[in-house]
Amino acid sequence: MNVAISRRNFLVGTAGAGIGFGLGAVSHQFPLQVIRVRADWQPGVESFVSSTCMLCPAHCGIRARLVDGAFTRIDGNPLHPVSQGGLCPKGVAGIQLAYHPGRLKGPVRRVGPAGSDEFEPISWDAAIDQVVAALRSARDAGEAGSVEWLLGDAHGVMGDIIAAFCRAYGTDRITVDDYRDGSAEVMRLCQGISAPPAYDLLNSDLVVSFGAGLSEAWWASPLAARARDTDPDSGPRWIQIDVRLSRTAASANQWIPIRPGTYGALALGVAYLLVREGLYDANAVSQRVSGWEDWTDETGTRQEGFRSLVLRHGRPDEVSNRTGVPVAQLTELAKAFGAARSPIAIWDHAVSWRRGGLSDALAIHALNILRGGLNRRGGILVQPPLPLPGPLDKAPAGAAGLSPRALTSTTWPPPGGASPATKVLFLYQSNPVASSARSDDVRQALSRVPLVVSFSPFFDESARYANLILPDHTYLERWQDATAPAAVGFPVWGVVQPVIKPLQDTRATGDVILNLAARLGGEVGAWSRWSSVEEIVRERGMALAGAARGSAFVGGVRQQELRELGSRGWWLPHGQSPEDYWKAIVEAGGWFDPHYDYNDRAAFSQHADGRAWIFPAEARRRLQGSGEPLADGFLPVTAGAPAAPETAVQSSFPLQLVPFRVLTLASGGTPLMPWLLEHLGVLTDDAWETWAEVNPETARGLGLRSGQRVRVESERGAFEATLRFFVGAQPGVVNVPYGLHARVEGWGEPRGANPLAAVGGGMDPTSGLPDWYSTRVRLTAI
Amino acid sequence: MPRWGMAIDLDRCNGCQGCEVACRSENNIAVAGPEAAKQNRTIFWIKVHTEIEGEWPSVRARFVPQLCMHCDRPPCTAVCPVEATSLDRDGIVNQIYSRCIGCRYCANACPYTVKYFNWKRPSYPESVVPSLNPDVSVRPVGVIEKCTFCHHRLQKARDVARAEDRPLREGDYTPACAEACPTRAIVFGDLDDPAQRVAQLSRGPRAFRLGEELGTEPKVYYLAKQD
Repeated sequence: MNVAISRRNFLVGTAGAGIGFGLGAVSHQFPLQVIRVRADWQPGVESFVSSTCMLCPAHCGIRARLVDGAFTRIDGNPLHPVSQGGLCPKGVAGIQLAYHPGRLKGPVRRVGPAGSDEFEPISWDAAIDQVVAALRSARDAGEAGSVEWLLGDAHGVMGDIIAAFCRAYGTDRITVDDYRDGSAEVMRLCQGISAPPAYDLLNSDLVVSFGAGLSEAWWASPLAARARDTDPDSGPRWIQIDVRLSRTAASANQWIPIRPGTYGALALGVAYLLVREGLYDANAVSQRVSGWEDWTDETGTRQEGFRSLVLRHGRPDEVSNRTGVPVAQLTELAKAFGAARSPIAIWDHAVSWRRGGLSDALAIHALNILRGGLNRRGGILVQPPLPLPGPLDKAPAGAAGLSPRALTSTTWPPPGGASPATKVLFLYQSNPVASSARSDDVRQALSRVPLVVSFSPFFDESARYANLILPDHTYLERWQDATAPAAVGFPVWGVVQPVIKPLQDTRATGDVILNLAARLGGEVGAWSRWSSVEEIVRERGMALAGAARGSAFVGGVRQQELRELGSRGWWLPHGQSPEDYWKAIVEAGGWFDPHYDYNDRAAFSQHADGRAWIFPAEARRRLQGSGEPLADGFLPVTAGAPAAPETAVQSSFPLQLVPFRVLTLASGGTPLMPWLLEHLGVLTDDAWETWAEVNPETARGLGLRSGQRVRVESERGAFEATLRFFVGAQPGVVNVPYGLHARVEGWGEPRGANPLAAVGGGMDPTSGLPDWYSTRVRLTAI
Repeated sequence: MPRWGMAIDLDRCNGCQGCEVACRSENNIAVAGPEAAKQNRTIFWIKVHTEIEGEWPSVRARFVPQLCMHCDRPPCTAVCPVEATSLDRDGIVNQIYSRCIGCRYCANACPYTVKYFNWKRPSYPESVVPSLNPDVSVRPVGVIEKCTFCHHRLQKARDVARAEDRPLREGDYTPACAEACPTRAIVFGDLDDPAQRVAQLSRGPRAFRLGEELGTEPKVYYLAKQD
């Protein structure tokens, strides 16, 4: 398979580059050929195509470089308003996905047993016939609900197509693995707004991150990178509170180490000091915040306000005891947060993917509320909606969408089996055999389904259980759209367009689904008047032309101009017709509207009384009923004695497991991009395999050496990794990167493991989010 | 003649490795694989090294991207028996693969350990060959390779400037690593032109060079961390 580049054909093949020396020379080592350059040789002609990176939710702008039509490199798109030309290593390595030798050449069907390698080619027509027949027979038997979808990143138009298809067909069984962090739920409870918060990082003078991987696996890492890209004298100061010396912690201005699972307690400690020292925005809190003073609820019960509660439970000495953060450091943090002009407290999965995580997140968001940071310059914003047409099928209100469903990695398959039993299962950007904490259950469940259809372009672990694989294009070969993540304070609509013709006999899954709908006909086909995703994307682009807002992506000075215009109700035109506007969007890579209305009350609170809640009554009720030993039933402090790591040393699982995410592993596609595998962990210089970081003293105490293979074992399961001594690891804690679980043959052979094998499928019942950070483990040498 | 050089702001570098991968893509660096990694034989024209100090919980880390320093007094060129590596008139230390006899003297002489030997024949899966950058030659087994400051981009920038009948301007010529850096930590340009940012940064109070005491006069400057 590999083409070795020999010295000889290197010289022949690179005539242009090698000319100028040694013509006709005879080396003592190798006989050299005379390089012949044809008289009509000319350097290649370079061109660029704008598109959007689909390898993580940040959706940065990219420009594909083509030389004589051959796609040779991915650059950042300097016009993109968020990434501004910067690109992370994943974005650059995306080209390896397109040219990966492990890509399927075309559709295949399985002829061997489930999980085997025995597949044979099938024509697109025959494959689609088979799917249509199965869908028809399920529907005719009145079992439309036996058709199920597992989705990975079903972003933008893809999610809309699948949702519309399912509604028309009559099934609502869609499970999405969208890696949500529960912040939308906190916003809903506190502010009545059903959207995750946006952060005005660029205008904030202090960012306090509670474990959020801002430089690594956050929603909008380029935004965080730009936030740091300012004059050190005026730029935001960045304090990272983290259980390990992460890359984000190392690049922040200050890192505060903390015991796992105590972020909420620390936030409570900061709130205590803000209240005691009068460093909160008393005006805003008294006038626009509910739940601050004691009140009587609708049942006549007296409820204690946040002020009384925080003064009871947030005492610095107790908080210091629980979190391991010295009182002096806690005080300094509270002072900085209280003194900053526009501080932001920010969190992500590291806080919310744990039992009691909702309580922690509410305590952290309480800091934003206390400092009057909602809908304020340099504070917590809400991304205004994109002026796009609604759902593709004019969905009835309350129809099943994609967002409220549970996460695949923890909840699929449902214990006790699906009901009704699944007849047809579609896997779109989903590889649950590799990603799930219960991969044996997933294998069994997949084997039981009569027809599993995978759209994976690669022969991955779950595709082996499919009866049919209908390979999708990579994002570099298809049409799609991609919005900026909610964490960005203004709407961005990126265009994903083919930068090269499909390299294999693949088809865009969106087009395949539109085709399925048309073939099924009747009600199922009625909603769709499009034959390709391209048409839908174009229609959306044209709709933006008539929005009387924003602009196609433009460079720095014109961005400023657009901001000025936007504040006066104007916008930037592009040409005379919607077609011209669409052309401008496609050429630049997308559309955006940087104007933000800080006076819009709806971005402060959408509760009926217009007030924001600090520890909302609804959250109190839910947390009180959760059975967690929380102080006063809902505050993020355990009611019992703090569990110091030392007390558990004697038990059979003496160590705490902390799965973490690094940039190189923050998308499921890393095993397909060997450039990333060659330097996975920059802090510990790791490559090609999953490692486990342990503090040297802890490891030596267990008689383990750095570089040794170890088994990491919990009550629920085990996995293997290579041990690394790391002084940035907390004593008593094992840190393991998540993300190197999938495997595709053909290019490099990473030795990955899934730490979720030990974590198990535990869930926080109050939030429905996975519980990643409550696992105790032991290490044994292999 | 311009004297091309680089300034890397260690305050801005957050260790994302965007430069490493951009370099691999631009310069057709073959994937070496896990076995080569174990033997420390993976080739990195630029690599982000992490320096960690202290003990838990008082630990600090800084990221230091390291590439060929393009020394004004390069120790590697002096030991090359066949003139395969030399300091060219642009101040770039070049590497001519077809002259190299693979003696590895230069790799041993380099105090920054940024010269890499091709222990194995670099190979690319057949499907990947069309995506190789046609501006950069691939290297055969048995020769040394290293960062060239993407000098093929200098040739192109010169051609463009000549065609437009103007001198080279700041920003015309930027290596792939500097272009890709999302935090703009890497600044590149002419160290001798006081109007250029790189020249100003290299003369600033935070600027230092690696192994300055060796007298190699590197043209890659680092700006010390401030916190």
